[in-house]
Amino acid sequence: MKPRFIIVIALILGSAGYLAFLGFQQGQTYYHFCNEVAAMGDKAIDLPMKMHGRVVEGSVQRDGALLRSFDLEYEGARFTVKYVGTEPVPDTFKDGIEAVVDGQLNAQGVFEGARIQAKCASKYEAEYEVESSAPGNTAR
Amino acid sequence: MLPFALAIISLVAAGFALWPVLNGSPAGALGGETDSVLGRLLQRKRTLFENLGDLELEHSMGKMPTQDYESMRDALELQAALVLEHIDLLQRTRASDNHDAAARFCILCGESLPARARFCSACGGKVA
Amino acid sequence: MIAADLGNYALMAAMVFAAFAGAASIFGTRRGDPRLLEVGQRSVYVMTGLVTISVIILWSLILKDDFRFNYIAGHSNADLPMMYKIGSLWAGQEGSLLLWTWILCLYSSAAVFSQRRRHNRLLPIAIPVMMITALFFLYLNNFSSNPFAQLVAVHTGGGESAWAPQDGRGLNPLLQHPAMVIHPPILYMGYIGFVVPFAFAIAALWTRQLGSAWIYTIRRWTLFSWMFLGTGILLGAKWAYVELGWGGYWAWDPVENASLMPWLTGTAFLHSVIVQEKRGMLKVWNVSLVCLTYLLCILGTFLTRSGVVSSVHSFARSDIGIPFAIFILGALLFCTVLILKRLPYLRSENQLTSILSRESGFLFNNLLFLAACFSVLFGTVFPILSELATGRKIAVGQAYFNKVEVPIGLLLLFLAGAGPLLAYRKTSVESLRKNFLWPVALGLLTIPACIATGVTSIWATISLSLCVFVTVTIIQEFHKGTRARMRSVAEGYATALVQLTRRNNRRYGGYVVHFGMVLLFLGLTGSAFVREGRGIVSVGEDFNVGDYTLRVSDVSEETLPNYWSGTVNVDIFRDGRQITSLDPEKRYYFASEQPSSEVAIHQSAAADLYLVYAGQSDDGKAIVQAYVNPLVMWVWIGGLVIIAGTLFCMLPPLRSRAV
Repeated sequence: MKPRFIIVIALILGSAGYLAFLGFQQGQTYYHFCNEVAAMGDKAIDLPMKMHGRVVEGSVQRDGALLRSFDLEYEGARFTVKYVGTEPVPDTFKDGIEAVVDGQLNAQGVFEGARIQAKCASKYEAEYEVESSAPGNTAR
Repeated sequence: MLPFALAIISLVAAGFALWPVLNGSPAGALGGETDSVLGRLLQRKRTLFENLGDLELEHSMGKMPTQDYESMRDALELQAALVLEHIDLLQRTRASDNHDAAARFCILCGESLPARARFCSACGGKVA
Repeated sequence: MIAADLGNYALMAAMVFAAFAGAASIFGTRRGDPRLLEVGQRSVYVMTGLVTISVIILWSLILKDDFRFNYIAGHSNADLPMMYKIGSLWAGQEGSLLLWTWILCLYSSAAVFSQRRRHNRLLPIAIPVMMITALFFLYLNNFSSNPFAQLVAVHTGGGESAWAPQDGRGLNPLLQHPAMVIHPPILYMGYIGFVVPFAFAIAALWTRQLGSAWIYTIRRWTLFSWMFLGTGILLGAKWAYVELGWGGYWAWDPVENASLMPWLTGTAFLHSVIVQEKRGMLKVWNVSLVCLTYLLCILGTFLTRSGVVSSVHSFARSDIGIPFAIFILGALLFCTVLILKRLPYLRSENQLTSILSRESGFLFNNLLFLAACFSVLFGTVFPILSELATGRKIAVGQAYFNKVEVPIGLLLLFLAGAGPLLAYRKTSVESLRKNFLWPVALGLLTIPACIATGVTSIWATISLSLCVFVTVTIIQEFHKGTRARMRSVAEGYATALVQLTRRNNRRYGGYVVHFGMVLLFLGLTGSAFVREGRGIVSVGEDFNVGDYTLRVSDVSEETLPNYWSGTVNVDIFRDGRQITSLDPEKRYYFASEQPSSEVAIHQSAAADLYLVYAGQSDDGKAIVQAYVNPLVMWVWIGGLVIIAGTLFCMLPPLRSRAV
């Protein structure tokens, strides 16, 4: 193949690679579960990240329909999340679901979240859990 | 009740699948070597004519100088002529007695070759 | 219990026949015994029948509300409308995988039936390839993810007993939308359809028949699958737009990417085979692209199901990830080794002579699609890789994808216009001048036009300019072709145009598809100009978004049997005049405790006005989120045009030697 082809091909792939590198730098965020964030201690403060946890039942605080704050927990670690975003919260967001919040931990230990990603429920769930009156009964 | 139903289903399924072997017909040969080559040649013919038609269309739309068009057209027509000749030969041979002993022909130069030849003794081209 | 036993038996027996079909085909071709070949073909039909039986059983159990079954209790409920009960067959993992297997069986049977002639040398090897895929999914259906699993109550005192809840958990209201019912089957008809071209490609490699025979065999299959895959992707986007209420339709979510990647390599493949047919080149590319597409289809299923990458779609971690990983890696290894061993048979019949040639245009096309695909793949699986390497999961944001894919996409758009104008072997300067004059001129003129109308985004300007460029090339192709025909056949313009397109339906259907892509890009470009606003307003108050003024005229609520509904009526004004009224709604479903937004959209060619009712604030004011999404409608219209073009391509040819 003529050298000209090699040059053009290298240009195309090189530019794509360079753009990928740039975009990657801009877009990357750490992704941690609540217990991992807790383990990081002070290093987590002001670090942009996504935090994954379960919404604690009864912790959701709203002002009418506007979401103000809620608590997220995972494996014993629990954080209060203050919602500072402007978008309406996803419809799947409610007590007990898993959610990923985009934001950062502030010096007071409160996680300020700008975006919430909540699980699309019951699509690919692994189990059916039953609430039954008899203690100790589970279904599988 | 259920085991009985499952047994019936199994028998019917297996019977349907294995029928060609069960019905006692002889093994026969895979044969159709000529048909297979013929099928590929006919497809090649269709492709060549399609390419020729496309070439004409593009030339008439002014995408290439006439000189380029003519040289590409000539090359395609040569290939097409060889393929047509080969097809003709195979079809005449098939009409005669022994299908499976059909001689082979080099698709590139037309030289006649032994049945099991992989390469052409005249031009060295690969035989399909 | 009879139904479950019959269903399980059918799935097990299907595995037996799948293996048998593969074995019979291989032995038949080795021994040269046509009876065995036919046994192999019949076994494929039997396997299909058996899987069909298990699907029918599952469907009837769903329709009869048999909640003893884990799957049915988890995804259906007694009051679910019929349409969604039918759709619940594929709402969850077990049923979805069963659907996968069933569609694969149907495709395999269709492939066998259409290729059943005795002398077909490829079919006996294609069958085992399809069967190995089927065996993998049947293995999942039987052992990992069985749809016929029944609920069992485990007693604290020991022992188990069969158990069924009063009513099922039902289908998530977000999924109760017609588009979501047909989205999985359509997407599957795309994904799974690529197994057939792959099988014939492997057969061609295995038997060393690497002329173009295998390409012709699979031409329509590939188009068909590609069409369904693209349609499935757009349907998913449309549903996300209409149901999820965040104002957009594509978020580079891993599951979305999973369906996009095989589409990218599939599109490259569709184009690349043209070069092999015309010039006998790019043979290695073609076999590699079809293998990649198959692998990406399986990978896509894996990414969606295994929960290994976090996404709004799939948080459920399941253990079917390991079998998938093994299968994909095994298949990748097999394909690589086979292609490497057959390289001598894949030599090009001609050489690349000039950069300005149709062949090199196709080569760059392949490279760009591949670059797009790999960059999407990298971004999608990076969290897994980073976790393996550094122990920390790093998520890649939308900025990455947009930064890389937008330029690549625009370059591809450029090629869609420029490619057809180049000649094979070498394009002369004269023909460059003649053919590129108008498209380039009008394309360049678009740039000052954009600037004059206040477009500030560079990418948007380039995109619009390329849209014009490509459109002019397409119009030019239709026009010049018609004129050429009129010179050789005495026909009027209209007749000549119809005859021209009918006799060259692959070419002109392709141009229609390209035009559909132009419209799609037009719609995508609009996303550079989205405006957003939120109003917390009482009745009678208004707020502005973009050029629109929104005034709340009424807030109401209603309680229905299965959900509570709150509605806000908003009057829309523009330039002082009222143009319409929209009623976005918020619902809360009692059974699943699930809220949902019924978005209200006012569509127009220029822009969509998209309203979400987020509820009421503490002091009773309505919270309305508004988005102005310019040009979105063209995305959907573009999709329809692409489908029409593809259908036109699939028409049987009407050709003779004479133009």
